[in-house]
Parts: sequence; structure tokens; C-alpha cells
Amino acid sequence: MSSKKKVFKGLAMAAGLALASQVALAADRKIVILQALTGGAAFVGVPASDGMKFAADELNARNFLGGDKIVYEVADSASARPQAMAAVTRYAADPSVLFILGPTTAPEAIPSAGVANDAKIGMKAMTNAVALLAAGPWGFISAQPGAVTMPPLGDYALNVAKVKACATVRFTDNEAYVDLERGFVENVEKRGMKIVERTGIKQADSDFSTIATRIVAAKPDCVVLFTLGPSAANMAIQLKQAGLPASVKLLGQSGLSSPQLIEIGGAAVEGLIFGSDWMPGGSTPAGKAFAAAYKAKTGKDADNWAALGYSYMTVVATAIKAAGPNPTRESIRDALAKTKDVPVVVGSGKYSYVDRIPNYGATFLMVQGGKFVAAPL
Amino acid sequence: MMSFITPHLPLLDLIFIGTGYALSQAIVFRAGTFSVATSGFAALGAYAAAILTVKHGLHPAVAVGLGTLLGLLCGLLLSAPLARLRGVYQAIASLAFVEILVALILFFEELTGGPLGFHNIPRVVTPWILFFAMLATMALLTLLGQGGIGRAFDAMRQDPPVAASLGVNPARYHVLSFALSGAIAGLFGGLDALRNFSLTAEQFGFSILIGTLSAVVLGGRRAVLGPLVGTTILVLLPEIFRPLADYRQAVYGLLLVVVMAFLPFGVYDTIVMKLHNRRLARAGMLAPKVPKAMT
Amino acid sequence: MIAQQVLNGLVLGGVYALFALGFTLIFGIHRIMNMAHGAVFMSGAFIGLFMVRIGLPIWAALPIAMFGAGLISIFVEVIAFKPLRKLALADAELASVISSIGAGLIILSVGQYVSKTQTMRFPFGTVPIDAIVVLGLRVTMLQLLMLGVAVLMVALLAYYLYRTPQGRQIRAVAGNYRAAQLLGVNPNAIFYQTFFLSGALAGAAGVMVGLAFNAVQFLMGEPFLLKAFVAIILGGLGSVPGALIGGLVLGLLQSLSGAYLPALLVDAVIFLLLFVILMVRPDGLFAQSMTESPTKRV
Repeated sequence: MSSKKKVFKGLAMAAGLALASQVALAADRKIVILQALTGGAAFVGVPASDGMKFAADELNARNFLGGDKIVYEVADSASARPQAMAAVTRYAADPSVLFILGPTTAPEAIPSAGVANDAKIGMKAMTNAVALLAAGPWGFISAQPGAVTMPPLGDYALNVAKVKACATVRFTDNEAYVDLERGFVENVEKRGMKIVERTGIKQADSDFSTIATRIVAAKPDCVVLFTLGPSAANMAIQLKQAGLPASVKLLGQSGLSSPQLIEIGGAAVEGLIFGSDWMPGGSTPAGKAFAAAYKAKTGKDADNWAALGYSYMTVVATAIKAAGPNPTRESIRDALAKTKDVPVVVGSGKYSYVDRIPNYGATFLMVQGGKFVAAPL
Repeated sequence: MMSFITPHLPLLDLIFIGTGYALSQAIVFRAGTFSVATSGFAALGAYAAAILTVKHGLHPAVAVGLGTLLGLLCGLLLSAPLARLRGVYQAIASLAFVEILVALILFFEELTGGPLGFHNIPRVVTPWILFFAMLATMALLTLLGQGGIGRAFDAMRQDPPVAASLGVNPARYHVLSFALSGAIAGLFGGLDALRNFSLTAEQFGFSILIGTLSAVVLGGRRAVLGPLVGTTILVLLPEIFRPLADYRQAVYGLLLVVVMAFLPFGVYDTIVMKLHNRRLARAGMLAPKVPKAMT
Repeated sequence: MIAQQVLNGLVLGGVYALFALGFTLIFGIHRIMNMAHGAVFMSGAFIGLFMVRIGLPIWAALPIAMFGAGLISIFVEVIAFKPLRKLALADAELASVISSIGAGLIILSVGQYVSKTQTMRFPFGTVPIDAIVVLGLRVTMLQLLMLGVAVLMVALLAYYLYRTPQGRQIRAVAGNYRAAQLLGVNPNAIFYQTFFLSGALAGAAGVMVGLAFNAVQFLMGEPFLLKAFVAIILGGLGSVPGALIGGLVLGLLQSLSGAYLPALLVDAVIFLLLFVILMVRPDGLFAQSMTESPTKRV
């Protein structure tokens, strides 16, 4: 080639590249945040969506997707299955929507996954219900199922707390906690622990005197709480009122990770230990930075759900980035399934999908002096 | 056209299925029974259809048919105890029936999935199937309503002793109304299960009971179109007021209060009533200024 | 354990009784099912909590909460029931159930907004947490308070209805609306009074439950409303002593079945009892209308 032609070619290529990058700049990557903003699950959905919005804004501010921006639209599922399914259908019909972050609870999310698979749009629900995955490759769960989180709790109970006879309390009307309790019991009974009582309460219940008396009469050396923070706090108080000895250890899981556990439980929850996704205030440098920035921007303390929401948005954004310069619904789905060691602020700090099951570890927290501290290991 | 409809298909699903449940509810009201057992019959039909299809491999149509039959049988069974009660006591007894059923569904986990729910039911029912089921049910009820059965129901509701003296056997028609109610609820329960991928016991509890009741009362419990009108209002409302998300519950409550205050017989029935009265007035057949209660 | 569970059951039953009392008052006198009763109960708890939070002691917060709940109950009567009174009874029944559901939803959504769906609790130490041991049973101050309040309220209500002229008027209206009107009783005044009383009772129950069980939340009325039906039917719809006995029996049943049966069967047992009662003796234990005084004085 003559040198003139070479130069011309070079110039043309440069011009072409410049043009292409101009065209590729400022593409909107639209994600729908579909959470329960009203209704019974709003206490999860509202902070979760706040955390997701915060994450998206932060990621945009530091140009995480290069020149592209995450654009989000927030929708309310009202904690109701029909609304959630209708929302997924509606947004799936909008070709500019690349992904749906939500819904919140299993009863909403599992049928919505069916819809998502029909409509071929990726969907990452807050829940840990493994049944959702059977609907097809487009549905994802976000929280770790009992099969992942309960063995470490069992380890802690048997090896560190050294308890031999446990009583359990679970929400009977929330499948996530039914699954966790079952996972724990199956795991520890195989390893020789006795389960002396398995009791159930409803999410709206507040009178636990009957259950508390029953547990105390069974003389356990530990009580494991598979509920949310406020109910656990209440249960702890009523257990003490029913005469539960101070030597009995109280254990739990990440549903307890909220400031309300301490606000409501007071002295009754001192010494309670639980495997947590999030330590209020953050346990890693990234977590602490997030907690501070979130408080500064929203004026609220980041709770378990906000931290999870923040982390899940990060995971989705990472998948979009990994899907390349022209992400499609399919390429995002595939990239998401291959998620590995994405830095997050919950658990042990790294989020991966292993056969579409989330893995991000847990930290063990203890209530001490009215605060959450790392539990002794 | 499709691109307009597709995003809103779930709303049509809700209207068709909701109207089915509301029709099941309306029949027993028409026959003079204050029973709210519809959601219980629906639960039976839904779980039967789901379990038979998923766990036993039956053809979905057969499974739904068996679910309908189960609803019908349960309706028959329930009609006897409820016949001995009156008014609000019937309502409470039927409410107890629904709550017992929900508790039992939760308890027998092996069969129903319990609190974890029953999931991954194949979506074999299409909106067209739902539409035709609704249409067929309305046609059937219209036919029955215009014939002897409808007149018998009306007589029983308004004045049982007179009805008896006219040769209407209240027991037989009472049982019939429950059988119909159970069958229709069982049918739509089965269709619901095979359309919406999964079932939980709670979805047949207090809140859908209230929703179905509201749909019937809002729309009108006399005309066959009443339940359709009521259900449509209740389904479209959350969509129209989506911007007001936080206050939606308050708006829903306000709607119930306001409609009952001004249109206590239901939106559709009131319209029918007014048109009827206007026709009578024009024909000079109305007595002067006596408020005409809808019978 | 069984003795302790009996005590638990009686305390719980006292609360059910208070709740049922307000409901059965309205039903007995006006033959209306007030489905907003749970929401009124919740608002009593909320008002009591806010009064304590701004510094009032519990013995002042309770009457204020009762008063506030009474007013909210009147609000329900005005928007949900009054407009339907012009209709014949049979038509009004169904419509007023729906209307009261609507009123309840409105109150619920105010509660949701105000509390931001969070569970709140009374500050630690609002009621002393000491317990005494009587005959081997642990009884806390709070349990004594709850039982005491329930019994006191029942007694006050019975006195009001059967020993005062206003109470006589209320019972007259219960018997025959038209006749009472002809005799010069102002029915509207009666409605306001009965709804106020009903609301005040629900409010007291709400504060008690909030204190005792450490949870004030906008959905707290739901489980009570359904269970209350059992108490009311058992005791007899419209009967004051019936609501008390029915509530106590229900509390005992819930406690004992909770102690010995799997958690998921407790509801089935309770509602099965309801169904059986309705089959066997639908009028309940104290089958009498409001016009008859237990001591035969009209």
C-alpha cells in the first residue's frame, strides 16, 4: 500500500472510531426496581429500593459503566402477587428495560419468575427461595438459601457455643424462615444435637406467653430464632419473663439484623448471637464507607435490607458491564449467572453465583452493651 | 393492537378470574344466604387441579374438571349446616370454614407444600380460556336466573314463608345454590392455579374473601353483570392510582365507603334500577314519590 | 407447665374479652358488624404510645387513648353506618359490612403512614416489670394489670347499661328502634354513645396489648378481629357477660392448644370450635338480648 493510502486508511479508522465512540456514549441502561413499597413487606421493600437507588447513583457518579448510565424506574408491587406479575409483564413489554431487580418476597417472586421466563427478561428477586429457579434460566434469587447459611450456624452452635439441646422458633407464615429453620434442624440433628421444641408464630403475632412457657418447660440450653428482629426481640423478652435461665444461649439468623432488635429487646437480647449479612455500621472498610455515605445522603442508618439492596444493584451493574458494549437481556442474564467475587458490603464481602445459588458468606454478630459487635469465634 | 394489550394481559386475567369468584359469591346472596365460603371452594379447586396435574400427571382439563367437582361436593356438604343458621351467623360459619381450610392446607405440607407454597405449575390456561369460562358462566347464570330457578331464589330471599306457600322447596334450592357456587368457585380456582404458576394457602384467606365480597357488593348482586362491573372497578383502581402508591389503600377504603353511601345496591344494579324506573315513569306507571327499593 | 399456661390463657382471654366487648356492644344494640373494630383497636394503641412518648405516665395515657379511640369510632359510625340507616335492615346489612371494611382500611393506612410500617414499642419501664410468685406461678405486674383492667371495664359497662337512665335508653333502642323514637329517645345520640363506648373499650384493649406484648404495629388488629368472632359467638352475640366469658374461654383454648399442639393446627382448632358452636348452640352461652338485665331490673 502506498504511504498516502496508509495515512488515509489510518485517518479513516481514527475518524470511524471517534464517531463510533461518540454514538456509543451516554447509552441508558434501564433497570426496573420492583419492590414492595406498600403492604406487609414494605419494611423490606422500602429500604431495599433505597439501597438500590443509592447504589445506582453512586455507580453513575463514578462512571462504573464507562460513559453509559444506569437509569432506574421504581415500581411498587404492594407485596401482592397479582401486582408483581402485572408489573413484570408490563416492563417486559418495554424493549428499553434490560432487567428487573425484584420482587421482594417469595409468594410474589416465584410466580413472577414464571412470567419473566415467558417474556424472556432477567429478574433478580430479593428472596432466597430456591423453588424460583425451577421456573427457568431468567429468574434469579439474591439471598442465600438455608442450605448455604445454616451449616455455618450449626457449626457455631455445636463447636463454639457448644450447645446440646436447642429449641427453635420460626415464622410459620413466611416461607423464607420456614426454610431456614428446617435447614438448621436437618443439619444439626444429623450431627447429634437434640431439638427439644420446634415452635411457630405468625408475623403479626405479639403474644408469645404460650410459646415462651412451652419452651422454658422443655429446658433447652439454647433457643434459635428464625424470625425478624422485632418479633425476636419480643420473644426474648417474654422468654425471660417466663423464667428462661440466663445461661441459655440465644442464637439467630440474618433476619435479626436490624436496629429494632436492640431498641425493642433491650437487656433481654444481650448476648444474642446471629449469622448476619450486614453489621449495622459496616464491618469491612467498604461497608463502613457505604454506611457513612448512606447516612449522609439519606439521613437514615442503613439497615440489613438497604445494605442488601445496595449490594444486589452492584451485582447487576457488574453483569451489565461484563455483558459488553451492547448488552441485551440475554447477555446480561448469562453474565449474571457467571457472577464471581463481586465486591459487596454484606457477608464476607464477595458475591458469587454457584449454579445460580448465591454465595456471599456471613459474619457472626453479637449484641453487647446495646450494640452490635463481632461475635467471638 | 397486541402491543397495547400484552402489557395489560395480567389485568384481564384478574378481571376474568375475579369475576368468576364474584359470580360464585353472588349466587348464594341471590338465594338469600349470607355465606362467604367462595374462597374456600376456590382453594379446593385450585389445589386439586395443581396437585393432580403436577404430581399425578393428569391432563390439565381433567384436573380442572375434578377440581370443579370437588368444589361442587364441598358446596353440597356445606349447604346443610349453613341452612340451620340465619344472616350474620351464616357469614361467620362460612368464614370459619374458610379459615379451617386454610389452616389445614398449611398443615398438610407433604401434600400442598404448606407454608412454602405449591410452585412451578405449568401455565396451560390462556386468557382466552378464562374469557370463555367467564362468558359461559355468565350465560348459564343468566339462563337460570330468568327461569324458574331464578324466581325461586328471589322468592326465598325476599320472603321465605311466602315462597314455601307457593310451592318453592327452600331446601332444594338452597342446596342447588351452594352446589352451583361451589362448582363455579372450584372451576375458577383450578383455572387460577394453572394460569399463575404457584399457589399459597394465604391467597385464599381473609383478604380475597373481602375482595370478592366487595366486588359483588360494589357491582351489584342482582344482575349477572354486577360482579363483572365490581371486579373491573376493583382491578383497575390500583392501576389508575399507581402514582398515588402510598395512599392506595386509603383510596380503596374511601371508594368502598363512598360507593356504599351513594350506591348501596351496587353500581350496575343502581344503573339498571334507574333505567327501569325511568321507563316506568315514562309509561306513567310509577306511584308518586315512593322510594323504590331494589328487590 | 399447665397451670402457667392456664394463667397465660386467662390473661390473653381478658384482652380478647375487652376487644369482643366493644364489638358485641355494637352488634347487640344495632345488629351491625363493625369490621373497622380492629383498626380502632390499633389506633388506641397508637394514641397511647404517642402520649407516653411525649412524657405522660401510663395512667394518664390510657384514658386519653380510650377517648381518642372513642372519637375515631364515632368517625367510623358517621362515614360508614349513618348513610346506610335509611335503608331497610336486610339491604343495609351487607352494604354496611363493606362500608365498615372501607373505613377500617382508611384508618389502617393512616396508621401505616404514621408508623412507616415499623413495629413500635412502649418505652422500657412504662409498667414495672416485676413479677410475683403465687403458688408456684409467675405472675407479672403487667398480667395483673391486664386482668384488672378487663374486669373493671366489664363491670363499668354493665353498670352503665343496666343501672343508669342512659343505659336504659340504649337498651330500649336495641329492642325496638321505632318504639324508642316514639318514646322520645334520640337515636342519633344513642348511636354516638354506643360507638364511643365501643371504641373506648377497643382502645383500652389496644393499649393493654401494646404494653403487654411489646408490639404496636399498624396491622396489629387483624389477628384479633378474626379470633374475636369466636369469643363473641361463644358468649352470645350481644351479651356483655358473654363477651367476657367467651373471651376467657378463647384465651384458654388458644393457650392450651398452643402449648400442646403443632403450631399450624392451633388456628384450625379455634375455628373448628367456632363452627361447632354455631351448629350446636348458635346463640352462645348467654343467649339473651340487650333488653333483658341479668338481675331482672329493666
